Amino acid sequence: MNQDILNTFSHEKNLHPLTLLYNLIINSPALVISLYYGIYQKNIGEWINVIITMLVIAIVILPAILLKYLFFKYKITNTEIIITNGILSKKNRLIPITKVQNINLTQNFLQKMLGLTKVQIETAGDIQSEAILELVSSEEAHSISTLIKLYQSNSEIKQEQNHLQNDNYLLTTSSNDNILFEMSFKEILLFGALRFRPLFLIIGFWIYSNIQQFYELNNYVNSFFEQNINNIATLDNLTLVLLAFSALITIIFISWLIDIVWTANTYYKFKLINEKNKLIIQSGLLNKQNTTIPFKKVQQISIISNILKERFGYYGLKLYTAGYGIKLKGSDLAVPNAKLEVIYEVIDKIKNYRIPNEFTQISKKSIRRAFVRYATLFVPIFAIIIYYELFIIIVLLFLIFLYYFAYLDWKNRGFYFDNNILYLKYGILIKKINIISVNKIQVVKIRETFFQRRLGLASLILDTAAVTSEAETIIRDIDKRVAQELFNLINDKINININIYKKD
Amino acid sequence: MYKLDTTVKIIWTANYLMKFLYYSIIVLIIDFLFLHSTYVSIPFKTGIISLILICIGIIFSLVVPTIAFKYWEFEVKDNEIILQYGIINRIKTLIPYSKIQHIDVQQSIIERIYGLSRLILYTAGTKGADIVIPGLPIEYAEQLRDSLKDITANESL
Repeated sequence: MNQDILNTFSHEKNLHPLTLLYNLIINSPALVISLYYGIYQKNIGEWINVIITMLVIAIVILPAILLKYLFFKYKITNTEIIITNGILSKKNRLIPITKVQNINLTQNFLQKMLGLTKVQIETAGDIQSEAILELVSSEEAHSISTLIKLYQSNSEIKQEQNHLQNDNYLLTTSSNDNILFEMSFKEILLFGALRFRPLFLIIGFWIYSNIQQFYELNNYVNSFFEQNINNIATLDNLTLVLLAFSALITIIFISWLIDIVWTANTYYKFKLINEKNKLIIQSGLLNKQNTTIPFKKVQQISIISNILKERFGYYGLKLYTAGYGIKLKGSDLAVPNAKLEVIYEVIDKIKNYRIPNEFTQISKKSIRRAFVRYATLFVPIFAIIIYYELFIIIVLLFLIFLYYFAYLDWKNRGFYFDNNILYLKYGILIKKINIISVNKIQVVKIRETFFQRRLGLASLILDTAAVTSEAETIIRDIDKRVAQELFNLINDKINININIYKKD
Repeated sequence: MYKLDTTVKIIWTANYLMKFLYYSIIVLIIDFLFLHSTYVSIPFKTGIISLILICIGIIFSLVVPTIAFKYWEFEVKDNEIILQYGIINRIKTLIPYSKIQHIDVQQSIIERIYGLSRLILYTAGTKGADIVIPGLPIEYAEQLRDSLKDITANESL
């Protein structure tokens, strides 16, 4: 490493001056919006808003940005990273170099244009001990990253001389051999096409309504409606339903297209890299993302699919993690979309898990319970319909449908316990196989509700340190005896693992 | 299987009574301020609802602790603690010592009068994983805490 670079970072340093410009742009969306309306609507009254916004920016935001920039200083020595900031109250943050787990360099579109990079320095501790340098120039960011790694490897050598077992952090270079999974552009588009996220339906609605405002066609439609206002009243129900249906189809189509574009943006050049003790996920077109997941933090692994994806033979792999670093999301897609064999291969490389072909089914009495549970949800609606004697046939059909749903719920549920690993299968529309290692289980519970006791059933609840409750860890409605056996078995396995750990 | 100390029933009763009193006071305030105005008017006199609530509370806090006590059991084993409790939903919990992050012994004012305490076991689990064992004599709880201290998780997550 160049001695000059070492020297520049060993003195207190400011962030890159262009940060000022960046923060100004980021902090003034209100200005843009009011400018837009002021110009677009050509309304004199609106200009007052623009002037007020300008004044607010001049008096409050600009000095704040400037002061924040002036008071933010950082320094990297061979033992620690020191960051001083704070306008009114001084904060002095000190991060020992050895505690640094990971350095993330990220760039969004605007930052890319300005040639700036955001440096996130993650430690194993909680969120409080993270350091974010927002922003430094791209060259500086890279030299910071290499510098910290260099200092780390220096202290690492010292530590290793002291005690050989230390396996905390080893400097590794990301070579291409470590790539576990990659996605081609075509695969990413396919992934987007198969996703169908409900959130995008809302966005679709929003865009559809906006298009209607601006679109020239709208005038024709309006004038058509105005001319034929008398005829519309005579239209039959079927035509109206068809009209509404076509609008719905358009909205779904729009949201589907946006979902594809959005997915392509997020997962562009997706790469899953295996480094010592951790996994690295890289992706992104406009916003580059770089996520690091230490193996230790992974609590559960899940193979996910929806009915559509399953039809085409595609699955995804999701990792659920304990809370760490600045991420509170708690889950990461390690493999967004791939054939089952590829996913098995990746799982095999990460951890030696063998996904069973057949699962133990839960008790058949579960169908009854699930049906009653679903039906009680709709009781108020049923009551109204029956009271007014509206469509009793529909109620009956709906009940049959609910029973079928309950049956599917039972059919798709299964569990398998083998060799310290528990596999749980569940889901109707979104299907999951959840894999939990016994040594990640914190607390085990058997729960018997009032109704379960009457049927001789019980649920086994496993609690891990995973942040999200997205992945179920409940074996629902199994025989009471089976639940007790599993309870004891898991207990024994945990104890065996402890003993092995102690002997080591 | 160990039982809890029988005096825990008194503590539970007191806790339930206080809770019901607290809610009935809130109901009384709402009753007084809003339910007898010109817009909304209920057919009861002010305070009747609170009175009913207190009556239910007294019956509840006399009956429930006895039943709850009957089902509350715990077992301290070589490698784990097993709890069993619940009236309507019965729950059996297993906490391996190696998963305990840290241990607290807590006492409320009423518990202090009777010389009881609660042992709270914190694990790293995220779904209701702080396990509370109520109604332990303070000496026993502290002894248990000290003996568990050495065998709890020494690995950070």
